[in-house]
Amino acid sequence: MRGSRIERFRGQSGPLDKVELEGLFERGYNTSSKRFLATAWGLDPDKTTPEQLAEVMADGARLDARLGTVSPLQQAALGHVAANGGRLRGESLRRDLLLRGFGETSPILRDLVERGLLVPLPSPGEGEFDIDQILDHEHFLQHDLAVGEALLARFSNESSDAGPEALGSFSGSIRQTVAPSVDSLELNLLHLTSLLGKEALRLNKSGTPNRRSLSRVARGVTLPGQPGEAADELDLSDPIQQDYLTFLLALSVELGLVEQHGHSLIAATAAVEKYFGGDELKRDRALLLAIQNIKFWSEIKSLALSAGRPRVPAAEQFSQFEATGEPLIGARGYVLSVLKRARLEGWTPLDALVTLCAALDRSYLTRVIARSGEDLEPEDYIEAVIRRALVWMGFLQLGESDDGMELARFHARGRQALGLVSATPAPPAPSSLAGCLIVQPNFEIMVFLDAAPLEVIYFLYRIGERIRLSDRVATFRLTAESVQRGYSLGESAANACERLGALSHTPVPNSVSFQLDDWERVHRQLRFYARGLVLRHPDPDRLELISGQLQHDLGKDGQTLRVGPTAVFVMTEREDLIARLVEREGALLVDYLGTLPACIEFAGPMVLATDRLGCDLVTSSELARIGEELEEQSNATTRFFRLDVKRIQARWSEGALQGVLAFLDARIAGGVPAAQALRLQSLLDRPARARLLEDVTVIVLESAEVADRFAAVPQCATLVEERLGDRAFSVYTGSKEKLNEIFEELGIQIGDGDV
Amino acid sequence: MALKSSLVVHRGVALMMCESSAILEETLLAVDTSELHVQRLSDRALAMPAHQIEIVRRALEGRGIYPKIVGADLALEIEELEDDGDLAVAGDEEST
Repeated sequence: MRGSRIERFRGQSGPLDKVELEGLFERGYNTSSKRFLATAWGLDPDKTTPEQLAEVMADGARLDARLGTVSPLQQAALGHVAANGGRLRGESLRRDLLLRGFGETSPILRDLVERGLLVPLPSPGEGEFDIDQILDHEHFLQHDLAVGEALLARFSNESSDAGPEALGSFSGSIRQTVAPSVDSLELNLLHLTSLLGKEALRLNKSGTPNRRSLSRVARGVTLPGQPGEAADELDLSDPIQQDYLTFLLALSVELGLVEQHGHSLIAATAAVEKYFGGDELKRDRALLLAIQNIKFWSEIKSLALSAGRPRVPAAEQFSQFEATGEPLIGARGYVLSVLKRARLEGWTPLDALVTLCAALDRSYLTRVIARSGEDLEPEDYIEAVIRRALVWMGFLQLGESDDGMELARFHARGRQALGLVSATPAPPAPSSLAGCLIVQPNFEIMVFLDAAPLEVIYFLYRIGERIRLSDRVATFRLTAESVQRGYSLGESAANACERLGALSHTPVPNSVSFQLDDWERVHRQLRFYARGLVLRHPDPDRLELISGQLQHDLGKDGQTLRVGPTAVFVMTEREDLIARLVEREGALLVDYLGTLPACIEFAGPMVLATDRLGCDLVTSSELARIGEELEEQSNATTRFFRLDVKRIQARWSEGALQGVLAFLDARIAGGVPAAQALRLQSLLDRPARARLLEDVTVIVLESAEVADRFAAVPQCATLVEERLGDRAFSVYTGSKEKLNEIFEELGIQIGDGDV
Repeated sequence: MALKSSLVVHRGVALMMCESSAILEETLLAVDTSELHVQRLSDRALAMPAHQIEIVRRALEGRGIYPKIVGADLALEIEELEDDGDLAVAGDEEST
C-alpha cells in the first residue's frame, strides 16, 4: 500500500487528491511543508493529518470564502491551471499567462501558493520537499503547481484560451481608430505591380525612387487612413507618404512580385500571376513571411518619421539599395512568434501586447536590436512593429475603448496568416459574384470592391486599366492596348466576354463583345516566338527527318515549327540537345550571342559570294544594304552581291572605307584580300598613287646609323632623290661621279659584295 | 562557298509568324526595318536575332498592334531619367 502511494505521486497528472496528499505526507514533504499547508488552510500545524487537509480542501463553503478574497487575475490563473487538468509547471503557467496578455504574474502566483490554493509538488522521487524554502529562494515556479479536486470542479468551464478581456478590464463601445485591411493592401500591391508590368520604376543612384517615375505609379495607391486613391493628394515631399510607398515597394520585392534590374524596379509577370491567382490562405501566409523578412524598409525608421518623433535622415530609409530592414528580421520574427502563441481573441489593450512581447524573452530582443545598430528599448521596437508593420499590413486593427484605453485586435486575415484559424473560409461560389460589376457601353467597367474578390480585380487589371478608385468602387477601361496585352498574357475574347457576362449586373453590351472579338482578331494575326533555333537545310526531306528527331528528343521541353521548305523554328534553350544536334549532323552553328562565323568570300573584283542558308541574319541584311544581289549569278546554294560604292558610303556616312573593311574583315576567313582592300580604298577614299623613276642608282649603306649620318651631310642631301628605307637611297645616275667624290672625301668605301 | 555540312543551326533567333502573307507585308510596312537584321523565311515568317524582337514589338505597339508573345517575358522599355534628388525629408541632411 505504501509503495503504491509513493508511485502514485511520481509523474502524477490531474488535481491533487486525497491519495496523493497521503503519499506526500508520508514521503515527499518535510515537516515544514506539512505545517505550511496546515497553517494555510487554518488547521493546527502540529496535529493535521493528510486526511484532514484533504477534507478541508474539499469543503465547498470554505473554498468559496477563500476564492472570494482572491483577485480576478488570480481567479484567471487558477482557471488556467484547472483548464490544463489541475496542475501545471509554474514557469509554464507564468508564460501562458504572459502570452494571454495578463502581464507578469509571479507575485500573484506566490500569493496563491501562500493561500494554499496552488500547492507546489516535489519532483518525482524527491524527498524532504520544503515549500517554505522554495518560496524563500523564489524557486516555486520551477515545480508543478496543483489545485485540489474541488477547486478543479469549480473552474471546470474555464477556457485556457481566455485572454485579458476575461478580467473585464474594459467594456462598453470600442471605436476603431485605424482600420486598414489586407484587402486594401493587396489592391495597392496589385495596382503597383500592374503598372510596373508596363513601365519600370526608375531609381536614382542612391536607390531612392525617381520622383517623376514614382509619381506616375503612386497616384493610384490608397494611402493609409484615406479612402480611394491618392491622386492629387499624393505629396512626395511628405515623409509618411514616401515611407508608405517605400513599404509597398519593399514588400513587393520581398513577395517576388517586383524585381530589381540595375536602377529599375520591374514587375515579375509570372510571380504576379501566381500570387494574385492563389487562394487567400496562401496569400496570407506569403504576406506574413514577407513582412517578417522585409529588407528594404525598416519599421523603426518608419515610426521615427511620423509626426512628433525625432526625424532621421530619410534617404537611407527610402532607398531600395539599403537593406535597412534586414538586421531586424530576427526581432520581427520574435514579435510575430509571441503574438501567434498569444492566441489573442477580440480587442486587447495595446500596452498589454507590448508588455507581453517585451516580457517573454526580453534579453533576446535586446540583443537583436543592439546587433541591428538601433538604440531603443524593446518596448519601442515592439510598438514600431505593431503600429507600422502589422497595421500597414492590415493584420492588426487599432481602436479605443470608451474609457480611453488604446486597443488592438487581429483582423480575420491577420489571424489566418498567423495560423490561428483552423478552417479557411471557402471561396465565394461563382454564382454569388454575379452583379459585382457593371460593363458599360463606353468600355468602362465599374466594380464594387466589397463584392468582388481579388481574383476578379486581378482579371480586370489583366484586360483593362484602372482609371478611378473611390472608397468602394473602382472603374476600369478596356482599350486596344490593355485588352491585347491581356490576350498576350493568355486571356481570350471568348473567356473575357463570358466572365464579364457572368460577373456583370447587366449583360455585356454588344459593342463591347464585338470589339473584344475584333481586338482578338488583330492580336491573332501576329505571333512572336521570343527565342529559339532556326534550322536550315537545302534538302526539305532531310530537314523533316532532322526536325522529327529533334522533336522526339525535346519531348515536352520545346516545340518545332516548320516555317518553310528549308527552315524549321525550334522553341528550345536546351544546351545539351543543341550540342548533340550540332555534333550528330556536323552542323554549322551560328550563335547570335557569340562571334559569328566567317561566311563571305570575294568571288571577283567587288563581288562577294555567300552561302544562302549558312549566312547569318546580320551579314545577310548588311550585304543587301551595301550591295546589290546578282540575281543571274545567284543559285540555290550561293548568293552573289556586287558592292555598291554609294550604298557603302550611305551605310557608313563617316569613314566608309574603315566601316566596310571592318565589316568584311570580321566575316572573311583571313580578312579582306590585299588586292580587294586596295580596290576598295581607291573607290571609297582616293586611289593609291605611284611614281616611276628611271636612270637612278641605289646606294646601300652598312647600317641605319651610317645612313642617317650620310643623309645629314649637306652635299649628300642635294644628290639624294629619295630615301628607300633605313639604309638605302636612290640618286640619279648622272650624279654618280660627284657621289664618288663625296664618298672618297668622307672615307666611305664602295664594294660589290654584301654591305 | 561550300559548307562542311548542309545543316545550319542559327541560335538566339526570334520568329515572327503572321496569319497571312498580306499581314506580313503590312507589318513590314508598319515597322522601319532599316536598322534591323530581319530575314524572310517564307511568305508568312520573318526571323531576326532575338534581341531585336523588342524593337519590332514596340514599333507595332506604337501602331496599336499587340502581338501574342510565346516563350519569354520581354523586357520593358526603361525610360532614361536623370537623378532628380533623393526622396528625403525637407531639412534633412543631403543624401549622397
